[in-house]
Amino acid sequence: MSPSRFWNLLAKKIAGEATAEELHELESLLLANPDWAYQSEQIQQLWQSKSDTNQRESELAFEQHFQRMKEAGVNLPEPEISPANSQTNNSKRKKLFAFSIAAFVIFLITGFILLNTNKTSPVSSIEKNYSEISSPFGSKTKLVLPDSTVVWLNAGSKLTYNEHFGTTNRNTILVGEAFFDVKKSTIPFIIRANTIQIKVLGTAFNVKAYPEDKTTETSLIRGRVEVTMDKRPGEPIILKPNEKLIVANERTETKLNLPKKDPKVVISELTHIDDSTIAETSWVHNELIFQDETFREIAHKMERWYGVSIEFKDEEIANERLSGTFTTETIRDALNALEYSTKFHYSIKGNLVTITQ
Amino acid sequence: MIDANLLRELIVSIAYNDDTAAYKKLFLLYHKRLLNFSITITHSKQSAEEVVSDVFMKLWSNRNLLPSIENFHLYIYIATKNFSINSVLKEKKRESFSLDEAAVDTQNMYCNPEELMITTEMQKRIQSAIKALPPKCQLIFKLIREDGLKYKEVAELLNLSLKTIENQMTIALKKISESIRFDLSRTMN
Repeated sequence: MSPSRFWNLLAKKIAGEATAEELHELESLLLANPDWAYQSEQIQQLWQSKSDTNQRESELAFEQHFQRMKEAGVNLPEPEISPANSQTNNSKRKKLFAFSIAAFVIFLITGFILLNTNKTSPVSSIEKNYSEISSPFGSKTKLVLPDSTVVWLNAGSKLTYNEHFGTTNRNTILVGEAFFDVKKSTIPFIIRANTIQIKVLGTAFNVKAYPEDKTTETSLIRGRVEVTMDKRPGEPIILKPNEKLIVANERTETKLNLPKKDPKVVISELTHIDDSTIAETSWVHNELIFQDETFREIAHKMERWYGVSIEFKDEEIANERLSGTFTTETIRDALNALEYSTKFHYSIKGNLVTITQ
Repeated sequence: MIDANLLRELIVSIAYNDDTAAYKKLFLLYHKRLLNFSITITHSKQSAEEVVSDVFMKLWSNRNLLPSIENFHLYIYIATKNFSINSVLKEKKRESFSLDEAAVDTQNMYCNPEELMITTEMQKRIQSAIKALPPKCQLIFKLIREDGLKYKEVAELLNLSLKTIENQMTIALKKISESIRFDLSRTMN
């Protein structure tokens, strides 16, 4: 074997280009020629040695660039307040309270209903040409669409599709949250959700689009999805696995109250709780997970999860940030656990939960 | 190496939120790399600074389209190459650009001999071994190691075949290893 082959393979290895077979071949070449080991080791170390990362020069260059843009008449706002920055700070913020409850409570099937399509009696509306499936508050629904796509509908959600679904189109409308495992087909599967449209061919992903929430989230587990915002037709974002796209819901009231404070669109990674649990899709497996969210945001989730209404009498408590996992606890168990990490009192009257100081 | 997730976050925020802070971050991430790459073509730091600034100006005015670019990392190198060649032609310094004239700055390529536990003498020898490589070979080596481009991407960027990239990388490693072997035999004496 010529040494050229050895250096060729080593180059591929350190550049991350080598296949499993090539790595194997390199290994055996090295065993047969131990005198190459020293150089090979040195080169690998050299390759990893970091270059100068002094940024001062680049900072100065940016100032000059900024000046040039101004002169060219390009209006670039001063980079002071940054949505992207505040976003990263947010995620790094120390969690004030973290608690977690194991699934110590007996598996109470809190309204987890498994439905097959033939069991669902599609609510035929005004014109009999579309089907609507909804999952009431406090329960989840699993359904199989005519094209064999599997959908889990979270509590308080609704999925609509027309009579030609599966034959000429695969168009759906989602209000609320659903996890889709879309059957591969040449007909694109399209989901309309709040102000975005999601197009896929065959893949698994989660869409959270409750109209009352501040944002619409698309989380991709595998495959590929294309998301187009109503405001930006013809400019889709192609999501990669393990990515989450968060789009702010445009609402007139919030627009008036909070002018441009929060970013409109953010892309981030999915939240992995452990090797097998992803926060974004945990609800499918009967887990309610929240990470560093305000009590008010959590209350929204609990309202849907338990089918109750939650009212805050105190703003400070509503803005507390909490993390935790619920599995099959009752609403009382959940609230009792929350009481350990932050001080508040609650009362339950029928379906109404009131939170006070 | 540039973190792919960070890159995606920045691009989306620039495109959809007109986020100037993200734009600055992107500039800081790429400035030095693109500057060095542009110098290999323009042979002038001043021209290269202008090229990088022009590339970023273009980026801002076309920010809407950024998320639909499949491979942004490669795209920005191709843009820098095209702007650099235009700059060379505009200033009429040279008639055309050839890879054999690439002026690769290998000065800061290996800056930390202490970390590597090698003698400064050997460090010097490695440096001169790299410097002695043909310009095309140096450029390919640098783009793959410092700029984190894949073989395929370098091939596309420089209009070369994948085979050529492989061969040039083999030559680079062989030559560098020879300088190390030399050191070994000397320390043994």
